[in-house]
Amino acid sequence: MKIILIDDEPLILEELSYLCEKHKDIEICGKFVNPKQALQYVAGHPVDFEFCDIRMPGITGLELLDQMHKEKPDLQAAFVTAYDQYAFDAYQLDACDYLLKPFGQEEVDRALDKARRLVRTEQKDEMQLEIHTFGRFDLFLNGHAIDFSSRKAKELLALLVARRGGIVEMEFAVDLLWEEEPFSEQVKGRFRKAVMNLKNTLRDHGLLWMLHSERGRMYLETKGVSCDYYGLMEGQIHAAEKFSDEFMAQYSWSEAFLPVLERQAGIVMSNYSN
Amino acid sequence: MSIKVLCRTRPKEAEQAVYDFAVFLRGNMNALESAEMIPFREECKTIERYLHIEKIRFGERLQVQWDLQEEKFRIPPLTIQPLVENAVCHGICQKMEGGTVQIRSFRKNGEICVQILDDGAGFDTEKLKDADGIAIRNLKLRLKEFLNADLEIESRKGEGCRQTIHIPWEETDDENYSDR
Repeated sequence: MKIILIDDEPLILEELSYLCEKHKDIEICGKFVNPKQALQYVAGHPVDFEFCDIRMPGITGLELLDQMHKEKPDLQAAFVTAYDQYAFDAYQLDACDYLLKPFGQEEVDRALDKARRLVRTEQKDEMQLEIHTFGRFDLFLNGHAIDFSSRKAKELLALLVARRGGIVEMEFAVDLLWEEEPFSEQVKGRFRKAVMNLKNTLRDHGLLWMLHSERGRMYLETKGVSCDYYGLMEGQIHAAEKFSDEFMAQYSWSEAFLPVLERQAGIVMSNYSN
Repeated sequence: MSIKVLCRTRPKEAEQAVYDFAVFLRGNMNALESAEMIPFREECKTIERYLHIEKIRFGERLQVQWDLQEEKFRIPPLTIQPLVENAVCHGICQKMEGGTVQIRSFRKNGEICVQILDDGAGFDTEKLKDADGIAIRNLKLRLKEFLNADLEIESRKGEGCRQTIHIPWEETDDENYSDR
């Protein structure tokens, strides 16, 4: 998502920039102390979202957004200000969020989450997401493998993928991911921590929409997700051709799924040659 | 917010800013608690602290000049700092390139004058007449009550602003003044 920052105070621009750093799907295309320059930029470049101050020299953030909407009606904005009295006007302009100074990581994360949801409908085609399961399990976003800081979080995601949109409950996940351990409070805590880490990683890459989660019951969105395994189970020949008897090789529990894949691959290949 | 950012990026400046802010707040609290006047020099210290913090936010956009020819008099606390704040917020910050705030004090025609000048955005004084905010009204009342002083505001849109406090002052008042 392409964003710009507009504030006549350089320190605020610095802070916003710093707080956006962890969001790997966010590209800061410009930082402006001069609102007129920001307006010129928006007229000539693609921009999805902006953080914008309200009190600025010469023009208010509200007037600025109004003018920007003439060129880019879909531009999303979150206002950043020390004053709460402009909230209603901001709402009228369809601003997606309103941050009161002083703000921190939480407020910025929330604003970006909202922006993603609003921008996502046009964006989804541009974001290339690929799930690889033949061989080792990995998630590729725009050609780059996503780094999961937590191994268990990645393994949990793999399990959700293996279930192909089916519901995964805490007991089931814990049984497979913490095989040797009894179903104790301690292990439940580890599970919840893995869920949290997974959500954080997905959020940082703008992928939280993939995961549906409620009270320890989770499932993955499969629509619009490119995955070799899903392709095979749907009978796609190029998926069957890629399969070579390895499925999520780094996880021992994945072996249980292998017979089904092998049989499916056999069926698809023979249908094709017939 | 500025201090928060400085803590991470320039801690030494943050240290100074926190100190400035604390002194500024203390000055404010003294003003709220006491019904007495303070030496002009003390009000100037509060103004200095305030300006130092604003300079962190606005950098080179805010320039300050002091020209104090008279300092031996007392005023109610927080009667000058708000005028400087107005000059900064409504004058200087409204201009992309910023500007200069001048704080002057001088004697003239049986008065001591304290003047805040800025070359900021200026405004239409006609519109201001009935729209005096509570802060300004309170300020004017206190000046009148303690010193029988008046506040004069002159401005034109695009031409900055001049705020002058006129304090009636006789030669004998000089002898009566003490720094205590």
